[in-house]
Amino acid sequence: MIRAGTAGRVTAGLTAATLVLAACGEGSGSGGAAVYRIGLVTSSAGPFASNAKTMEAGAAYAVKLLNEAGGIGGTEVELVKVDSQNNPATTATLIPQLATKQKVLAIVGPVDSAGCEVACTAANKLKVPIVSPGAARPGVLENARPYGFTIAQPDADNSTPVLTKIVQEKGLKRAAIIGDEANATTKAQADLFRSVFGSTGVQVVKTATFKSGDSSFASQVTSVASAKPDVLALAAGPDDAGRIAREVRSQGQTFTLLGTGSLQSGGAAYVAAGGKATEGTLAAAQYDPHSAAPAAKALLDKAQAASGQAEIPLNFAYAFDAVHMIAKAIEEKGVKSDSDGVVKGRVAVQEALNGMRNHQGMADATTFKDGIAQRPQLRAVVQNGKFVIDKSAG
Amino acid sequence: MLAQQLFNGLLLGATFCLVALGFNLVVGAMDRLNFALGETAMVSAVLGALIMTETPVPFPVAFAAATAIGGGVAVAVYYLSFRFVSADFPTASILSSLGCGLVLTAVVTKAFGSHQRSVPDVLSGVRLDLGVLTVSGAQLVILLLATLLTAGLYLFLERTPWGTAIRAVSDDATMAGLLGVPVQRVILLTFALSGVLAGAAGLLTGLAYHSISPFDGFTTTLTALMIIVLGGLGSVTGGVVAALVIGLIQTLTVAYLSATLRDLIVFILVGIVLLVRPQGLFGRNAGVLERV
Amino acid sequence: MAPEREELLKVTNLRAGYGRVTGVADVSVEVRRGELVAVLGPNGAGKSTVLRAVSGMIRPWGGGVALDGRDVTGMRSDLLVRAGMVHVPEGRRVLPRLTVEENLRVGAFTRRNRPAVRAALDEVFDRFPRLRDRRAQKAGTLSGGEQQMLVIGRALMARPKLLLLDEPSLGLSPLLVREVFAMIRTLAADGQTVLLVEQNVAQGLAAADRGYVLTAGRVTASGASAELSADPSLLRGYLGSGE
Repeated sequence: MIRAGTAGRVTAGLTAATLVLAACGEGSGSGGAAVYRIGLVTSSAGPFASNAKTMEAGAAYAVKLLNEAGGIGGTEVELVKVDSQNNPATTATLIPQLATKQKVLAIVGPVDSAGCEVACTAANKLKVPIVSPGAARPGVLENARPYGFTIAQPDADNSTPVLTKIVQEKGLKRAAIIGDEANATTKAQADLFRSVFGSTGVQVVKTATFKSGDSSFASQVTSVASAKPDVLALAAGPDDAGRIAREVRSQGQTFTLLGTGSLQSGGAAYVAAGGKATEGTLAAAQYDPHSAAPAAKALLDKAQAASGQAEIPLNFAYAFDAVHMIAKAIEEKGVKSDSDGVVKGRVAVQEALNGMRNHQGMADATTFKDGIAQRPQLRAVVQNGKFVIDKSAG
Repeated sequence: MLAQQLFNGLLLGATFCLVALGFNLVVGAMDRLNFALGETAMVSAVLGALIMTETPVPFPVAFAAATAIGGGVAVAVYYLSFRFVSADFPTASILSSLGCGLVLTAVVTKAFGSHQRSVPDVLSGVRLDLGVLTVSGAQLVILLLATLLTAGLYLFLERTPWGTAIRAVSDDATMAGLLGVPVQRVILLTFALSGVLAGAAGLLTGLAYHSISPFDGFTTTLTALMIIVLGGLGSVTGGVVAALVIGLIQTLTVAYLSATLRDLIVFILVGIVLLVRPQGLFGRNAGVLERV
Repeated sequence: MAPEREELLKVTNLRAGYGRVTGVADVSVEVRRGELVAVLGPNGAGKSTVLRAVSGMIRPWGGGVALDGRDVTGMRSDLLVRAGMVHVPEGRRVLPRLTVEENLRVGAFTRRNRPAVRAALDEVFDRFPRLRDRRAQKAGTLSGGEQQMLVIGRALMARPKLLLLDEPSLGLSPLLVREVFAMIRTLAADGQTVLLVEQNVAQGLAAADRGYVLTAGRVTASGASAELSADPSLLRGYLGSGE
């Protein structure tokens, strides 16, 4: 009897303990683990590594602001960062990992088109909303709809009218193009230039090639210079473009340097790599770091104060807006933070993003049209070490 | 334009030459390839560039510092990857030095970031117009320092007791030891010298390219390997000639064909040379493994 | 005991070999200052192994080596050169891609006194005038006899107290063999202490003051050269009659 009693009490005690543990577990399930997880696909290598770093900072800052304001409906947001190393195979394995293991509601990134092509397609297959802050190549979301989005408008749509105007106003006649034929993003930039020059009657006198991350541009620039162009079109990532600019000026060449909107997107990296040689570079633009729109101005001023940067780079602002749009979607649809609801939550976020009109963010107003943001068409020029929007050009 | 392109190629070859010479010094002294030499060049270049941008010291001081850093890193690599690795396992030092290289890259990216680091110009006001070609101040500095270092190394090897000792060890290490040459110290010296050359090459390359990436190390190693294989393992003259040849070919391929074909053409050329002359252009015998 | 007759090298109960193969089982050898001592024996008796273990080329398994009263057992070869002992291994190992003069200068690597090195160089050139004629030539291009002169001259550049010569006659024509032994005798006559390992018994004994006979890694006979030469049974029994 006594024995049985003891055994009974022990059993009861154990059961109670188990229950308490289980309760605790559940508690932490809906309390501690109750966060909205957002994935972030960055890359520490490759031609767009510096853009990726800027994107990371913008996304992290967005999450910080959200959480300081009490999260989304009182629930914190957690950023789950993964590094693709600019390797498509790595990207392809990271997306399922984010989806099934980390159970993220949505993904921000990658910053470049080549990365987005892989990541956005993979995420779309797994029905995870993915917002790339910078993918601007035409057709980049071809296999990524309805879950894929990009905040950058393709250069072809956004830059063509601006570049055409620049060519006409400056009366350019002879153009050279330098690009990486093996990289899809820069190849698209080169194609864009070719079509702009073709439609404006500018003669392409020289096309030079390089490999992204290449160290020496001496040979290419010598070839370009020998063709005596009055403009060199930079179909290159911002780091490469900056080093091309330095080689151009160090060879004593004075022709105009021209970039697409992508160059202005990576403007800070371009100027950092190219230094004084980048002064006067003209580019199309879709983002104004000194926007006068009230919502954008307030956010930009705050970000400037917080980051100590005099100018918020494009990828920072786009990543910031990406996070906030996802947060807005979560809030609108009342998405639950528990892991059971994650599949339903993703559908809801996707629907909200697709329906989003005129989101007033750090980068002015954004509206998605078939996943692609419609952006203002601006002209930028490098002045005193940074791209500034030439507002007179409108 | 051809003259200018030939000059570009010469300049590229001159920087390649320094790293290739560093490789050959170590190959001669201990029949081993130091696969961390490219990363050694990268570390020196990154730190040299940092010194140039963050401190007011003039370029020669930054350059001297880069060479000293290169020497120091190479000595460290020697102790970590070679000194205590048994001579019976030649592949062990390949792996351990490859590992050292990976660690160097990781340390630099952790400490200073993974971005391309911009290298400031030197003598930016200088420009020599020679009619068919123009030479910038930086190019002048690169050519001058690369030539001085190559000539200096040559004189050191030919005219000094320690230089002669390096060649003696390279000929027959056991015999050199029996004549009183401290073989281990000579090997250490070749590592230090190879590091100095790599450090110089790193910063000069940065100067030529206006930037340096922490991921450049292994590319440097591969290019240098190609050069010493083409020139003949352990041959100083062969290394210099092959470096210039490869520099010229790379430049001319980019200028007249396409950057995408550059490495392919170099590989094909090296392949053909090795089919015809397996010992390389200036090689004295079949190769490193047969010289033990 | 006059100082010029004291022991320069004392090898006691040396044991050495390669891998697991014993080359030298138990050898004791003494060389007094100014002597020319020969270690004789058939192929495989362990003669060269003795020299290698003494000069630091291989590490002895047991026993002791004392040079000029100082224990140098197992010392690194470059330090032994500094201590005053230079080993000329068999096979005329010139440094082929170095010139004749560079070979000689490497021989003087341990000496930092430039004028003294220059004097030593002149001395070697006086001793071997053919080397002077070929001083700028790569050592690998010399004839066998010239290479033998070079390796001995190179060893002298360090001004060794003791010179270890391993089979200097190996692979040379009879005419050259005579020439080489004449040169070794001249060296000894000039006061150079030499420990010579030689398979050519007749030549070895003719040149040396004393001899040790090695068989299968052990000393089986020793004594003045005249005594050993006078013992025909020994020569026939252990060594054959020489060449």
